[in-house]
Amino acid sequence: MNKILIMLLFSFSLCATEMEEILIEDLKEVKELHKRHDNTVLKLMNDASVELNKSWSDNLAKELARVYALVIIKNKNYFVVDTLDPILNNSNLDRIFKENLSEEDYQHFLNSLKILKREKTEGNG
Amino acid sequence: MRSLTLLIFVIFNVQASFSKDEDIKTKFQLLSLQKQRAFHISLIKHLAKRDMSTKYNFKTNNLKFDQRTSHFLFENISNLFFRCAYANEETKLCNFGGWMSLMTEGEQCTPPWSSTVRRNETVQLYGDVYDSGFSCGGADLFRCNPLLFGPGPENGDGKGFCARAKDDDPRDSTYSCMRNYLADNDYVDQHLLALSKDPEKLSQYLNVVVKTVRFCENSNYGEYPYCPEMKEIMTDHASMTIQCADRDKLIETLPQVVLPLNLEELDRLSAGLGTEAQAYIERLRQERIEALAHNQAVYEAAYSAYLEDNRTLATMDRLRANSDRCIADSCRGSKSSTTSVGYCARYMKYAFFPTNDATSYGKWADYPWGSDAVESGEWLESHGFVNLMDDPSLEGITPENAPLGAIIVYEDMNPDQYYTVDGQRRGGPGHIEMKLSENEFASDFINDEPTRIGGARKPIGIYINIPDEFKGRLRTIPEVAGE
Repeated sequence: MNKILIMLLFSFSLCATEMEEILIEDLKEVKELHKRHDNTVLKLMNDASVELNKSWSDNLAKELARVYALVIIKNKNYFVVDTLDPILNNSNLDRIFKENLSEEDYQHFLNSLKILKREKTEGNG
Repeated sequence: MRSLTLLIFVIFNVQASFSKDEDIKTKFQLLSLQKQRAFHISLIKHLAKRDMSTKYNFKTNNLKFDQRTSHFLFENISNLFFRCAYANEETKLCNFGGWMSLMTEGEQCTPPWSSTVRRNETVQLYGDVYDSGFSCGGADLFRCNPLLFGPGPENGDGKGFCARAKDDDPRDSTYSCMRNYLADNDYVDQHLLALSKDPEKLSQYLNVVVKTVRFCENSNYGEYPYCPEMKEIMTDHASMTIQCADRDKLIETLPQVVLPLNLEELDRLSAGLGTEAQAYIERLRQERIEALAHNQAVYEAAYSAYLEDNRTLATMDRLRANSDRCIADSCRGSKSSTTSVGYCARYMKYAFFPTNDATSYGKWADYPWGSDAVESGEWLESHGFVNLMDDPSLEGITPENAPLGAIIVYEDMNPDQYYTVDGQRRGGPGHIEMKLSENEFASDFINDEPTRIGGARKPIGIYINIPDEFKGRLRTIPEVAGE
C-alpha cells in the first residue's frame, strides 16, 4: 500500500514538474508583443498562474514576472493583473514581483491591483 | 421539442444497431433520465407478463426476479438494463407483478409498498412507486396498471382496477386484471378512446403492446399460456385505437417512448406509423437546413441595415469621442484612448443614452443607474437588441467574427461576486464593448482585440438591434438532435 502511495505521489510530482517546464518554455518564447491586447499571451500568463496556485515554483513565477513586464510595455491596463487572479493572494507573488520587476513596473502592478479591486467591489457601471 | 428530436434520433439509431449489445448500451446511456424511465416502465410491463411462469421460493414474499429464460430478446434487454442502470450499484431488484422492488440479502423480494422500497432512489427510477395512493385497502387485492387496464370502474378511485390476487401467490394478478378489464365492452371502448386522445399515453401503450407481442411470438406458448389471448387483444385494440387517434400528434409523440423498437413490428401494429415517424424526422432535418440558410441570409441583410442606422453610427462616434475623456468621476483630467479606467459599462451607457440627442438608442430617463456590464443584456433587449448567440442559425459566432457595430457582453471568470442574468448565475461585474472595426473594440477605452483577457472574461452575449421587418422574416429553427 505504501509503495503504491509513493508511486502515486511520485507520478503527480512528475506531472507537475513537466507542466512547469512546459510553461516556462512557452513563457521564454515570448520576446516581444506585437499587439496591445494579445489574448494568447494573456492566456499563457493565466495558465502559469493556475499552475503556480497548484504548485508554487519560483522559477516559473520569475518567468511570469518577466512576461508581465513585457506585456505592460504595450498594455498598461489594470485588468492585465486579472490573469494572475489564482495567485493574487499568495505572498510569494508579491515577493517575486518586487524582486524581479523594475520599481516603476512594480508600482504599476500595485496600482492595477487597486483598480481591479475597486471594480470588482464597486462595479463598472 | 429538443427532447423529442433527441429521442427520435436515438431511437432510430438504437433500432439500426439493435443486435449490437454494446451499441445499445451506449445509445441507452445517451437518453435523459426521463427517457430511461419510460423505457424501464415499459420493461416492467413486459416482465409482469412473466408472472405466470415464475417460481416462488417463499410463501408470502411473492416472486423473485427470474432471469432464467431462453428468449434472446429478453436476455438482451435485461442484461443491458442491469448493466446500464446498476453496473456500479449493489442494489438487487426483483419484480412484483410489474412493480420493481428490492431483493433482500436473503434473496427475498420485498413487497413494493414497504417504505424501504418506496424511498429507494433506484426503485424510483422505474416510475411511480406503489405508495399508499395505489393501495387497494384490503387483503388479496392487487392494483392493476391503469395504462394497460384503464382507470378502473366509474365508482372507483380512477387509479386502476383492484384485482383479486392472493397475497401469498401473485401469479394470477395479470390474469385477474384482464378478467376485470374485459368484463365490460363499453369500458374497454372508453379506455381506448381516452388513449386515442392522449398521444403520449397512446404511444406508451403501443410500447407495451409491441414488447408483449414480441415476447409472446418468441416464446413457447405452452410455457406462457396467456400469450395467444393477450396477443389477440392487444393487436386488435392497438389497431382500433390508432384509427381514431390524431395521427399527426401520434407520429410526433410515438418515438418518445417506443424504445427499443423494431420498425417492422411497429409498422405492423400501427398501420405504418413507424415509417411515418421516421419520415417525420427526415422532414424535420430538411426543414432545419432550409431555415438555417434562410435565417443566415436575413441576418446578413439585418447587419447592413443596423450598421447604416444613424443611431448605430452615432453610438460608435460617441464611444470614439469619449474614449480619451474622463466621464463623470471616472478619472481626472483626460486619459489615453487605449487606457481603461474600469468603467466600461458607464461609458457604454453614456454612448447609448446621451442627453438631448435624437440619435440615441435610449432616452436619458432610461439610464440604467448602477447596473454593471454583465447585466447589460437586460437594457439592450429592452431597446430592441437581440443576442445573436441565442440563435442556432448563428452557431459559432464570436466577438472576432461578429458583425461591425455588435455590442459584446462578457462575464468574469474570476469573480468576487455573482449576478443573476436571465436566470443564470454569472460572474461580475464583467465587461461590455462595441465592435467599431475588425481591430477596434470600444468601451471606456479602445482595445485592438476582444477584451477576453486571455480567458479571464467570457462572452455571454453579442447584440445588435434588428429592425422589426427583419425579425418578422426569421424562421423558427426545428431542433434535430446532433445537428
